[in-house]
Amino acid sequence: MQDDSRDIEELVNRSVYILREGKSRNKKVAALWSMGKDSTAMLSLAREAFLGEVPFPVIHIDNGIDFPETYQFREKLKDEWNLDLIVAESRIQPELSGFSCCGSNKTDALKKVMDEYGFDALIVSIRRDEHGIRAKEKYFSPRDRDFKWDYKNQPAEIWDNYIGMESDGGHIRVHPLLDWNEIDIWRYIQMRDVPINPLYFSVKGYRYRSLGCTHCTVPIQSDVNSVDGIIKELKSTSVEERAGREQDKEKEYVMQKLRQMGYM
Amino acid sequence: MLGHKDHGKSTLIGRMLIASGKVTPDRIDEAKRASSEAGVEFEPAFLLDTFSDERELGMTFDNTRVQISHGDTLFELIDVPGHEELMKSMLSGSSSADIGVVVISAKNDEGITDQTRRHVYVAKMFGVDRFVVAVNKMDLSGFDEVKFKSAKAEISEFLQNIGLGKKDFEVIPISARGDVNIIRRDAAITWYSGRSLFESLEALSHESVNPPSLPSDPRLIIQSVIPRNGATAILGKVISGEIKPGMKMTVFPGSQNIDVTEILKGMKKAGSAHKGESVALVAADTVGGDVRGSILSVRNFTGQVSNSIRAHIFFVEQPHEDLSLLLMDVPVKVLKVTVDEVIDPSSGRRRKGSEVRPLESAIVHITLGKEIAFDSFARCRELGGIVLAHNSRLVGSGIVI
Repeated sequence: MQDDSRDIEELVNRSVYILREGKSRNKKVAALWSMGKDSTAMLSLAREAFLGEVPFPVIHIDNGIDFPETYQFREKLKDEWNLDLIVAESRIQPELSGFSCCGSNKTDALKKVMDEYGFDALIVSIRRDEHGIRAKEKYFSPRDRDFKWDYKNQPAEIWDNYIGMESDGGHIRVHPLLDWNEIDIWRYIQMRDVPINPLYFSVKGYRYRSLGCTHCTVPIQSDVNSVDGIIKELKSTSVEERAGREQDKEKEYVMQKLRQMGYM
Repeated sequence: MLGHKDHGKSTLIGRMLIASGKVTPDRIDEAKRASSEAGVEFEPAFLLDTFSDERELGMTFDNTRVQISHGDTLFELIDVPGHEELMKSMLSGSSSADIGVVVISAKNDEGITDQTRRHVYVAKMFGVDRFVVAVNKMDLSGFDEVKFKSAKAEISEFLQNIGLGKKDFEVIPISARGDVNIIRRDAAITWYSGRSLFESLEALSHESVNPPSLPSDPRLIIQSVIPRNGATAILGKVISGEIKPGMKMTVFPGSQNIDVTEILKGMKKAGSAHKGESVALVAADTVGGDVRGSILSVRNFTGQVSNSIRAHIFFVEQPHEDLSLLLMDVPVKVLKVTVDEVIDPSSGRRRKGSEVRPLESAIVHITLGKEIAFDSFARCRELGGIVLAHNSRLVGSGIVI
């Protein structure tokens, strides 16, 4: 059961501030875009922060097995919002699944593209309420050369000061959506009429609540086919958002390992 | 969530998460499984301490933030590590909190410690002005009224010594592991007729004990400046007052004048901008020099512009020779730090002296290499909370007085 009482404009103001800081504090910034609701909402917030433009390249880590609707949505929004899209191809290994698949494919492809373009900061649309591990994340978080996250020695964030951000040849993760909950994202999408991947809406009694690739994501039973309907549904469900994501199933430790390896 | 290590902060948050229904059965099952694998009875702290080494060592690293709701109130709980060496995380947690929940263990040989007092002292200094003191592990002391009363008397005295009024805090007996007195008053404690922890939190959240006297002059912290169709857009956050199109503003420090022609919130034009809003101000003027971290206000700006600041600083490290004050990520060279008075936050005791040690706070005079715009923390938190660093490592943080 999710609470819909939070002030969305307050969250917007905070995220806009973080996005602007992310851009000012780093030389070469990029954002991850999975065409899911969170990273699409983040791009909409970036347009709000920077006078209607998304002023950094957006990276899609493409393993070739995303849903056709996702590719169509990507092309449509790329044109509409004038996005500087980088497609980072990752090779799918059919023998792997869940943990090893996300670890090796997505993370390796990301490392390659970060190196190739020399990005020193990466905007990632994670939220604290998604997962126990993510409750420890900071707005700005250094990752080392191997993408490792030293969660025991994170930067201090005192008022709006962020101290201790050397990334030792690695990069800084910027997390503008950390304070948002799942339902807040949908309320923002509703308020700003943000274009959204059609997979979130019901077809023949099923819809996706959290989007990964075709191999690891399962839809939920739902007849909801509007943003209003999704918000209503979230107010009454007690099922976890990522219940349909294979890599989360095993244990908290799995997510911890994935994050230490640099997974988003 | 403040207090000494192992007095039960994370266990209490875990318990509050379960009680508020904010955590799904999947998560509880996972924590139960992990508890039995670790060979302990169900440990609610595992809902927060999700890292394997946290579970193995039974301690929290860094801050964890989770939400709970009770009635109409949504709370965000910030867990902070209780260990002394992790005060940096404690400062981060305190700086964004409104209410402090102080966890004290009622178990024999635990009780109120230096670290308990240090946490409370620093939180108060960082602007936390309301406290709920949870005397925890009451089950392990046989729900002993005498024990509770002596802990209550001791912590009350300390809280009053550091400037809190009797109405600014409440002391409550609980058992986080035993789920006693968390949501509602519990019959297990026959001699107690006060509020439960949730009831107290809810009551405190609705009262603003000490409403600050905020400045009314318009102020915006400048994050960056970008060109826009021959004009300039100033991106930043409004921290006080109201900004309107047509307003004549000035960049502080310095005297650069800016005529605001348009205000943009997101992509839309707005008639005004207020405290808390991230906006873009369009100006016909070009803005010269590096103004990131500067303040845009009006001629009669009521803050201060100076290179000399009087402050109360908590030091996590011995002050270095080579210090800077950070304005966003812009370092301003510190020429001199003169210590007037040293305060030991673990006792509240003050002493004259010029030497300050790690984990002590001090009233200091800071002389900077150049002027900056600032204000007292009591009037304007955004311009009164300061951070001292050495090579971008945190040395101390505190408030302008």
